Amino acid sequence: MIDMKQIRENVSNKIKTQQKDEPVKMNIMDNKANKEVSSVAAIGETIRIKGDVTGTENLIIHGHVEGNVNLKGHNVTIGKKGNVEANIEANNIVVEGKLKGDMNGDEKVVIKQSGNVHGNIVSPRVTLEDGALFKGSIEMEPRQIEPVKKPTEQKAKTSESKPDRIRA
Amino acid sequence: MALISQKPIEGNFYEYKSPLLFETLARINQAEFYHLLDIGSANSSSIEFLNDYQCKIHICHCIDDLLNLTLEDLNTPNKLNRAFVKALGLYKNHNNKIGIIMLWDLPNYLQPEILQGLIKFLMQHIHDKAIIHTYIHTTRLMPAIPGNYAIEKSGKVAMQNNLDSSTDCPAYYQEELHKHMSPFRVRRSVLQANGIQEYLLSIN
Repeated sequence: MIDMKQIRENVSNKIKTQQKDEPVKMNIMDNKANKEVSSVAAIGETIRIKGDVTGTENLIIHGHVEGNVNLKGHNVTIGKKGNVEANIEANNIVVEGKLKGDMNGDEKVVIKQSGNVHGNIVSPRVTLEDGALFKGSIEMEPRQIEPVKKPTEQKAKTSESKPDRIRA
Repeated sequence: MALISQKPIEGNFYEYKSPLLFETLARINQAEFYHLLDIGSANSSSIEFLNDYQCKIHICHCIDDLLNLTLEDLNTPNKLNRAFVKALGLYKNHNNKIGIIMLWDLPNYLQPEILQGLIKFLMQHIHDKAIIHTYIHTTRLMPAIPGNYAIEKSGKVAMQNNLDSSTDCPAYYQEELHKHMSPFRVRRSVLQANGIQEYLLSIN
């Protein structure tokens, strides 16, 4: 026999608990979101990918990737056993394994002692550890230089500041 | 690609001033010297040094490949050209005009005909104002293999000491360099205390 009263009570209790839980749930989601931002995805040693890899999190490659890796704003690490035949675009790129392809690092590219790279690098900062193998070109991007103030701006500023000086 | 083990410059090395090299590197910021060609291997301190400049360095890592070239195998200009393309990685569509070429001490070790062929090959990829920097041994004996060099931020060059074994030195003098590296001509040279003569060569 179905006790409707009991069911109603159960449902209302459940709703109350859900309402109570809601902020908690949000917190969990927030944590999850935060985790996603700082988390690192990994391609295991036995994994072989043929195609393009894109995403919005950091990546460590221990396996074999053939194609393009585009993780703009995030970091890519090729582990010691990683073997990549791809062009890589990322914020920071660290190579401990083997790479045949070009690298575009918005911030920095590091080739570790165990790294073996055949390709071209474009990055404002490149570090190559002694013992690393590299064949290709390295293009250091121009450092960000403070824009030269236009003469008109300078004039305007001087004319603004002059009265202050007079007042002082 | 034949990648060979690249030994880190540590332990047996000595530092020395290389005024002509640093004079050349000071020109990097000029547009015509934006592209550098390093015939040797990449090393950390040279890259660290160049990080402060706006430039593009082409690292060939091909010294062993070039040393293995023999005229017996490369008996036609085409074969020789193909061998250089493979070793240096500079293909016909390589549009970057190289302004500074760092040959280090390689000319001492190449057969003169191979050196001539190399210069002829490089002519296809260089800027009119290109400069070659090289070290020529002037002593009777020289290290058996080309050295590893690192440009240091202190304004010195570190050279790995390969003096454990030595070989006869061709001890090229200026006129011989003109012959083997034509159309490049010696513009300046400085004899170092270690018996290495530093040369700057250019076309015009």
